[in-house]
Amino acid sequence: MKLTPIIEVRDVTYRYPYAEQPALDQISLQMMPNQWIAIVGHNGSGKSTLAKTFNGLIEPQSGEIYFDGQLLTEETVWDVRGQLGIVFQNPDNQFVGATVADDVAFGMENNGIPRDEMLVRVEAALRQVRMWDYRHQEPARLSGGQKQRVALAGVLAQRPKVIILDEATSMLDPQGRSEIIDLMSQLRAAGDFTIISITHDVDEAALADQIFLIDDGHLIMQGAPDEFFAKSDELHDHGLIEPLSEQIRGKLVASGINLSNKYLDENQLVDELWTLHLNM
Amino acid sequence: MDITFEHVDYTYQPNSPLATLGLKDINLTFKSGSYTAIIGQTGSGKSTLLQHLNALIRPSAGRVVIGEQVVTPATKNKELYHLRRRVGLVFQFPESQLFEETVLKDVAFAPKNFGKSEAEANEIARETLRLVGIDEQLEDKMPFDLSGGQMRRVAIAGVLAMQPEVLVLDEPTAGLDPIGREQIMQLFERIHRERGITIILVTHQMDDVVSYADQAVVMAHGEVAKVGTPAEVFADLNWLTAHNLELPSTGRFVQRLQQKGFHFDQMPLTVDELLTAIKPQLKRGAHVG
Amino acid sequence: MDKLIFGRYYPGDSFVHRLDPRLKLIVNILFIVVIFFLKNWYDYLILGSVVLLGVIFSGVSIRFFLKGLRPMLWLILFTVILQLFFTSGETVYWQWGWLVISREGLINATYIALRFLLIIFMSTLLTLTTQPLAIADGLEYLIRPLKAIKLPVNDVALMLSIALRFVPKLMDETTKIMNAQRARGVDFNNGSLFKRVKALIPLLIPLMMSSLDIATDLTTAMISRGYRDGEGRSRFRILKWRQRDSWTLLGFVIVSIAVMI
Repeated sequence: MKLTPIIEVRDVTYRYPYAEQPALDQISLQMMPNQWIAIVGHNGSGKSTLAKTFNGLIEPQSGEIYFDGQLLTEETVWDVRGQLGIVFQNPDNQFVGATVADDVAFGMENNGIPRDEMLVRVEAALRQVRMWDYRHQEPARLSGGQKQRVALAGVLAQRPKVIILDEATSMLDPQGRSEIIDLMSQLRAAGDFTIISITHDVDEAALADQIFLIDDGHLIMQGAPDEFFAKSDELHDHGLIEPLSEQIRGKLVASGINLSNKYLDENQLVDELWTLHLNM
Repeated sequence: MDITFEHVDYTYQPNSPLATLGLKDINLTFKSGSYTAIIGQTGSGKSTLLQHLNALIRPSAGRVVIGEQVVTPATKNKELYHLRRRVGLVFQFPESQLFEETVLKDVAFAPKNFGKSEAEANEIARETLRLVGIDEQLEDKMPFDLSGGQMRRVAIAGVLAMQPEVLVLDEPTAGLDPIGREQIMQLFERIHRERGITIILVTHQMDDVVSYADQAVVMAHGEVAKVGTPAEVFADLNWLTAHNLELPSTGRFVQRLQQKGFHFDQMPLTVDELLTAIKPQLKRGAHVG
Repeated sequence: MDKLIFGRYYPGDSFVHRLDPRLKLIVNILFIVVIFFLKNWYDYLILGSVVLLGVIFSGVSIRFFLKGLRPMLWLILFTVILQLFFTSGETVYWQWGWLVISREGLINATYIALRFLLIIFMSTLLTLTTQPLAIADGLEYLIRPLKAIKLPVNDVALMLSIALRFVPKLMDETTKIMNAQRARGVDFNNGSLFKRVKALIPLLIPLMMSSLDIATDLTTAMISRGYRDGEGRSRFRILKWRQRDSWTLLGFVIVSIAVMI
């Protein structure tokens, strides 16, 4: 049986009003369910625009979007919005509720979920992101990382099939960023949903199963991290830098050290170096 | 122009039940022509420290000496106005301060405030825009029509146009992509080298501290926890971890290699230093199977 | 500016704090009505005691109530003086040209001052003991009947609560932009009136731009989370009317009737 892509983009073109260049230019791609997917590209490459087409926040001028096999139309879009949650970039500007718990409930209120059910789900979601103790707090008292965790809880409470993190870590300090990345790793292990992270942080992208590189509104390349990061020239051409472990591996190989000829994450690289250690 | 902190305390909302100590007994010197990085967790007092550098706030106790101007709790605001031209302050996400109808006007705003004529200010603005890599065609555009990266550079130009002797930068690359980050950091490096401008940089990017700074200051709980060269400050990885600080990107790697029996006389801070340190410890030509 | 908005709510867990915001709103409205029916000193004494009782039960120091009075002081003074000098009466105590102090004027002025005082104390009692958000919630319940005349009550309520939620954020933003422009040589505090008004432009335009950004982002986030309009939504935050609220209301209504007849 052939697996249905959770999101399929077919020949999508979108041009912002008054823009000279289209932000998305005849782009097509498929994303498989229950994977962690990273969409990378420099600022202005079109990656965030692409994500906004998935739930109809942006309506492409041509092309189609399929969500779980279903064509995105004016009739289906509200259904899709219930199954696809987005955590946006700015922690402040997506916090609707007056308190942490209220914000988590906002999406469920929109879908008319009964209050008793909301109480259960709000608690579960807040415990999952470790923010239950803060449930009565107002957003002004939270750090950026904590606000993003609340936003994630709001998405989780809706029980979505797809969670999109649209540069959700780019405005956070290192601590906030690692909190969110840890949570994403746990979520992938725990739940059956697709995670799509839109980012220019290659270390974050390196955690994905599948990476898409976008530039000028085109899909430049896609692949699993081990093939993807081996193409460092391609990455540089499109404004990105390979992860540190790849920089080190590349330079070691160039100076005659015999390492695997593919991308290794930090653990794998350290392990290989260990086998080459003289005093082993 | 040297800047010196002598026993500086700063209290938020003094004489109220909400009084909190922002800075505690700060003693620091920023030498003329130096490049200092200030690091520390969010809430460690970095931003409060920063605002003392051009006297946006005055110490609650102690004194800050900026060039020949002494700033104490009693100093009058009027005396401080001209310090602001000499110490340029670039806030986080500075593009939010843009307001003029054109890019050129926005950059000429500060020179005009400090008494330059319209023509002089425009001349300086043009020159500064070229310096930050903004083309002539963009000068008459609305600042809000530019891309995010361009807006950031225009905003920085708006501070540089005051021709300050000291440039204070609060996370100037936050939110930018790797290439944009690199360009901005190179820009500061260039004006530091070519014009001898003193730079004080607040950052979470430890690799930038290693690459650019000659002095690093670690802030924790409103106090100076450590001062030294980047090599000195990053020498003890365990100390950094205990203070919840990020390591330079090589740091994590070095820690893992140490656990596997690799030996480092000195903490390698760049990829090249790291390679130099591990190559002699590896078998050559051995095949991984 | 901070003090104006944040100095208001005084965190606590007193009897008055725990009363339903709807009750406190209703009582405040009734109170204003009743005030205008007062006829003699005894009535003022009785209502004054009601307010005093509220103050005592709120556990908030009287100092905070007096602070609430301060911004209104000039208005009160102005009205009192007007009443004092321009009320004509039979028993004249003092006269200078067309300025007259009469017995009636003196009484009127005192009554006016007392009315102001009582209303301000009562509304301060509401704001000191009720979080702004709870007041918004209470208002929403109270304006619900207006649905009948097609007022989008749910939307209005959401707007109100979002506006409240973004007050601190906009304050931060204001401070931040002010500092950034001061660093570029703007002087907000000195110079002629014209100069100071001009200095506001570099503050107001960035503030407007960032409010627009917030609004755009927030709209995007709300749509993504399935917000269409106020209809068909369920509610997470609810208010609970308790027995103590009913008893308080009953007590207040009895007192009101007593002073009005």
